[in-house]
Amino acid sequence: MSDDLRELVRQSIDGDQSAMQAIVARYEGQVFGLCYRMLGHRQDAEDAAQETFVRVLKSLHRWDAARDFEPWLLAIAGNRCRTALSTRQRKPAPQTLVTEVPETHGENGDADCLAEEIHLALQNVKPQYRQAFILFQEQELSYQEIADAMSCPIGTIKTWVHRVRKELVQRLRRREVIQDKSYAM
Amino acid sequence: MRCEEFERNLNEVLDRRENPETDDSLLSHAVKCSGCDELLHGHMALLQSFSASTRPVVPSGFASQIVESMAPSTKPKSTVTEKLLTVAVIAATVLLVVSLIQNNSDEPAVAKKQVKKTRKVEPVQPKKRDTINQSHVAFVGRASVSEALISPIVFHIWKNRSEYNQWFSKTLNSMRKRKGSPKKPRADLFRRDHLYT
Repeated sequence: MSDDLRELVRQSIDGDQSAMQAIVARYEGQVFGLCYRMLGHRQDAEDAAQETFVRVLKSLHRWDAARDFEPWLLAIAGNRCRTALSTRQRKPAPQTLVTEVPETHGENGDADCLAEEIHLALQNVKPQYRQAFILFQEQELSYQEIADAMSCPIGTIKTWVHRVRKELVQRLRRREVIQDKSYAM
Repeated sequence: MRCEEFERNLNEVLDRRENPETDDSLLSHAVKCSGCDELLHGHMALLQSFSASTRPVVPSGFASQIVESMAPSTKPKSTVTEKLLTVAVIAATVLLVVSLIQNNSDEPAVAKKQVKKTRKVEPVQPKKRDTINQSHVAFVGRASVSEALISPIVFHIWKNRSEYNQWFSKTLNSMRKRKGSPKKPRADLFRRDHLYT
């Protein structure tokens, strides 16, 4: 962990608001990105990201400085998202405005369509698998970091990530989103 | 290379964050096997989509909103002395009430006994004032140590009654607010405008 982050954490524990703001500003993109991928809904992602940061800033004194900050933070974000998902199961979910991929796209039509398909496909994956996959693929955490963050064996995390990959590819093929391009002769 | 081996190797390459298209062994199998070719193509599309996709934009002022919501409240916390005093007042009140109830329940019996006794000696009914005086004497006579202890506390409360009045009304008001008012609405950042579109 960099020394400036360590210093920011120390100042935040002392109650320095500018240090707190600096920490949030540094990681807001990552946390919000994870929450958005996990929950598939912008407003819910904002709520979850806010709860994550409030929780993190309140429990900075409990963070083990010998370990990396990022996996710890993203683990809390993941837990918040899973809590939000279980709450959503009990309560009626907010209406998703775009449920189907629109026929027409802009300049990056195919790319947008593919991204949308992946986004929708991810929502059908188990939350734990999804979290592991996003942490690996999008947040670019190592398997060891993900295993530490999710308190699971590294082999389990690998299996989950492989499974999600396969499911996504199968869905994309079923939906015929992938363009025909062959390596075969 | 077998197809199972191809899939395993493909995952290993992807786990190392390398490009499968640069792996000769994978490509040599893919050109011969259409199933594995499709699999490789699918994984490449997935990989490219993730590398090309932009992260969702965080709302402006997100960090400052969070830090503002974390700001310590201006409401002063009650001190240990205040808390102890509150407990003492409650205890004193309870003891007083209990002793008064006991006294009241004993009072008719005492009065009856007195009446019976006086009837035998003197048929005249005792005055009401006398009965009260007698019961009061009985009460004081049976005053326990706890009652003796609470009297300075009650005296203290009486002396500082205006301050206690203020404190009590403040506590009541805050309790009413907590009970009655709805949850504090979130800042602009967390409005769910999409629900009304």
